[in-house]
Amino acid sequence: MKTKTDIEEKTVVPGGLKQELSDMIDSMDAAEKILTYGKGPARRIMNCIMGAAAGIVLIAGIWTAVETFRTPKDTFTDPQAAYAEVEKALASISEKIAPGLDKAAKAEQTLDRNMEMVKSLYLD
Amino acid sequence: MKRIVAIAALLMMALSAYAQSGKEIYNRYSGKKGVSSVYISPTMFGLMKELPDIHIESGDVNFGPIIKTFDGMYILSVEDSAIAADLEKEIGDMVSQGRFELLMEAVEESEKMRIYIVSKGDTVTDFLMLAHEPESASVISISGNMPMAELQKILSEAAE
Repeated sequence: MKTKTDIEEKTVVPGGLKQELSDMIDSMDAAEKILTYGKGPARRIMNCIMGAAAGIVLIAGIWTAVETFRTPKDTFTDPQAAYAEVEKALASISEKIAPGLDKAAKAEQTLDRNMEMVKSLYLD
Repeated sequence: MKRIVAIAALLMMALSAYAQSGKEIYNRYSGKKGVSSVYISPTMFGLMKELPDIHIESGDVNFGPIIKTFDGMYILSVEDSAIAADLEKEIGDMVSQGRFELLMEAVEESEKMRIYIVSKGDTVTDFLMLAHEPESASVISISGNMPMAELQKILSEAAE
């Protein structure tokens, strides 16, 4: 019959097992903390903050879109006053275009003159 | 769900952040300090066409035929240098999207004038003129169905 002393003498405990077991328990404890985190008050507060932020982003998005794509209110109620404004605007466009076109016409004339000079040099 | 809603809202903001027409530019700048704005609606253009004996002429240029093709006009006049610079940049961004094409540009020292159009065949559906000076800017945007020939006529008459 084996005595307690005999068993203790024959069973060899691998070196470092105690440390490994301790590490495993620590990691299981950490994993449990992560799993239970979602149910904690901190997670609930975070959820509330994220929800509020999403709501603000949504409202800002809708407001920006509505403001950008809305149909503006007519400035005039009288068609004759509106017509006068259209005429003024077109006259302003005309006024701003004219100097540019004038310069382009002058440049074209200069170019034509130079072309004539070159042609006459070669043809004569 | 929250993520989908937030992404949808961000997409909406991103879409509206880039103006694609004169109307969107108008909506963004109208009402700001230092900006005066005028909007003439399609309804008002409809009423204008019904006015008896309209004399639509300025100097030697007869605007009558082209005004009949308009269905909306947006005018912005900016007297604030920072807003004027923003406006020019925003119009530049809008043009870079490729819908508008440059019809004409005139630059004299610090003054710039550019005309952009959107055309479908021989019809101009959007006309936008930007005049920018260091301290101010003005934008005239017209939507409608303007025949290119009428527009060219106005341009050539303006040059005379």
